[in-house]
Amino acid sequence: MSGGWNPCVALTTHLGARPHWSEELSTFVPGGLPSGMLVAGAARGSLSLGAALRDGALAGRDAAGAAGFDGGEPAIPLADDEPVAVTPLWHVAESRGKAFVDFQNDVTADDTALAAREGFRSVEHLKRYTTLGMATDQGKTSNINGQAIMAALTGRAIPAMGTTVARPPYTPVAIGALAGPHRGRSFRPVRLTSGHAWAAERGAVFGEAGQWLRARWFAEEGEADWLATVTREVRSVRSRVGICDVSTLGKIDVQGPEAGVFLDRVYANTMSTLPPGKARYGLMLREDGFAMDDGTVARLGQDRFIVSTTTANAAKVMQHLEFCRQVLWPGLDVRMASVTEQWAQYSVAGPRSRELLRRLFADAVDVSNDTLPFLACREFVWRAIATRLFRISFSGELAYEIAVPARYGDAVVRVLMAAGAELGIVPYGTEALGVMRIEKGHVAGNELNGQTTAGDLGLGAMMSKKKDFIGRVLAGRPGLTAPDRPRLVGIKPVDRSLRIGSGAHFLEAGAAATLESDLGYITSTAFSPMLGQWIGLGLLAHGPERHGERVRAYDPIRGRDTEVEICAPAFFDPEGARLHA
Amino acid sequence: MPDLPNLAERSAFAGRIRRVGPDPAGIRVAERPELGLATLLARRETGPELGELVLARYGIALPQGPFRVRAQGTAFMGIGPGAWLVAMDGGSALIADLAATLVGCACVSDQSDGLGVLRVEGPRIRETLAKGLPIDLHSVSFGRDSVAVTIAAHIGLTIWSVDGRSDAEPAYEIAVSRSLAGAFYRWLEDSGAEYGLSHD
Repeated sequence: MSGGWNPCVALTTHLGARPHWSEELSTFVPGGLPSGMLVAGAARGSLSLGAALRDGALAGRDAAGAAGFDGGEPAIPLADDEPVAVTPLWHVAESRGKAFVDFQNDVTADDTALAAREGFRSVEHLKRYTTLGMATDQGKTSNINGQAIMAALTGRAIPAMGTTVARPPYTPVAIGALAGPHRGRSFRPVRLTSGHAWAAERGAVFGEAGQWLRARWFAEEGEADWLATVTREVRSVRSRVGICDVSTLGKIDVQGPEAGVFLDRVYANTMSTLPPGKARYGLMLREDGFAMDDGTVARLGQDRFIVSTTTANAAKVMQHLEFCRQVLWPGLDVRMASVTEQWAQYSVAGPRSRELLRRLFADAVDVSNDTLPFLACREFVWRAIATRLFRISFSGELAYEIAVPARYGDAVVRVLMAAGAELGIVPYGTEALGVMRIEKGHVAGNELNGQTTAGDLGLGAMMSKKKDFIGRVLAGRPGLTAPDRPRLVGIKPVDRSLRIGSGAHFLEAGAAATLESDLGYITSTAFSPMLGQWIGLGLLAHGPERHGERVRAYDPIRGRDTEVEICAPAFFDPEGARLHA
Repeated sequence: MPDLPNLAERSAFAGRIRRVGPDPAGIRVAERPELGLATLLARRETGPELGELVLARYGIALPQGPFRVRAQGTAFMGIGPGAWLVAMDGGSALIADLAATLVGCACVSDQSDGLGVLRVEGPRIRETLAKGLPIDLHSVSFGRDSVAVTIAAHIGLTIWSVDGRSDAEPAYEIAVSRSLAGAFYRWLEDSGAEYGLSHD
């Protein structure tokens, strides 16, 4: 089968331009061209030697000119234009034998005729009904003949049929060439903290938090499983002192005389009243009134705040703040820069944490309770490096966070461990951190799941009544303030020996397991070393009014149906005595 | 009081750069751990004043666009409207001076530890970078003192063209976030290995 001389028009059609029919050559030639593309020689139907050479020389001159060069007029080689003439014979219609039109997809002339009879007469329908031109050659060996046969069958001229566009790649490309180095562990980049090497040496088991690797726990010799390890870490932190790498949490440097005004608008609670040298927990809402992210804001100076975000939302919050600054309030005198990577940050938590810092920092800073009370923050120089200290706590213990420039991140974690050796220091990972925050009823990603409001989370009091802020208005919608919305509670299995799991749904005793009976669900669970049993946080309809009552935690996936008691989401040290020690 | 070890510094690319591939190497790589780096963000309506202060203190006309201007060991790179990346040969200790000079006029954030910078050069560096960067690195499009904020292998980076040996042997400096230094270096090594990669 021959289709005559067909210029390679495929590349010119990848961006959607259609070729033109040349009656003289009985073939398609390039039509509209993508910007920046020139076509020369046989590719555009200049089939003779002389014409091709002329085309090429002139196209080269034009391309050089477009790129800013002047090559002058090119010398065009002398060559004869041998005669070129084509008369097509598309199809011997009288033949009885099978005549293939598309060799790749096995489409015959008869298939084309069937398509015409079935009403699939347009070139796009012909293609999809028969798969003509859909193989890896994208019609290079088949389109012209298929279209010519269809044109003859339907009594139309070929140009009236139109043509399909070819899809890239022009020639088959191995998937491996497109994947390049992105295979296996390198499929996506991995982000490591400056403390990573030390944690790996300590035998940490790492988990993914977005692109980051974070240590989940640090197993010691002889421990039966991760639960034993994590339980030990929690007991050690709550009785002595532990350190945890929290470098991955977003840190945003917000500067300017109107930084306080800006932060008041993006946080539900007030930040402009924060005195320099203090930090405050903050909740950001989305414009639709749902909780977006929580974190702490530390004021280091009159015009300088450090905003912290969760690890998962660091980029999203930065984007949100930039949108607010650039689009919503471009007149505000405030700028922000991400400094997540600039600082290595470690939490130091437990009853012996102050003693550890006293030993570590010596005269560089006074860490006594009077000078550095709960929520205070300080900048100082320690051993010639700029250091920041924040007295904040996610674990509910007496705790601090130390920030040092990231080049010292590796050295500082080692120095902390050395300084704390006599005090029984342990490293702890994200699992132990999770257990402790659940024991204290602090909400985290499981609760800040994009479907909960400040009120649902028991944080309704944070929503200021004295200022406007993003999310204020839509948070007041009836659906978001309905009294039967599932709200945050603590839960404990009535039988202390039983285990509960997140995702279990709450049902009344005796109720059928149906959506109509659904009262909410468990968001977080942990084995509490302090209570010696499994505990959880969950969202339950009328939850805060039902403390002391019992419901079921229905968990068909794990085959459990557990009676649980509803309680306040504060299982350990509810007065916060350790926090303020 | 226990005897505490000294506080050692660890640069973003520490321990990563090694020789691979054919010799002589087509690309040479060296880290620039000594640089002081900062983001400089103009506060609203202080454009002319900021330019005057920078000119007076550093002898530099602040670039308005994706360009680099350098004088006496300090370079300002345009990375966006009213935004610059500043690189100081004298190190991170100079960033405080920069902030003090421009107080009231611009916001300065130290990024000396947040970014890692590599100097890359050699006869095959363009082919190597072209495997991942979507920008045109030809000397006509990205000549000396051009700056681009772009990506390679899903990793955000800032690249600027510095003084190479010639048009055929250009040199660039590339800044990436510290946490991604390892991933970026793996891509660079993967891409340059066929040409030979050596430590400068």
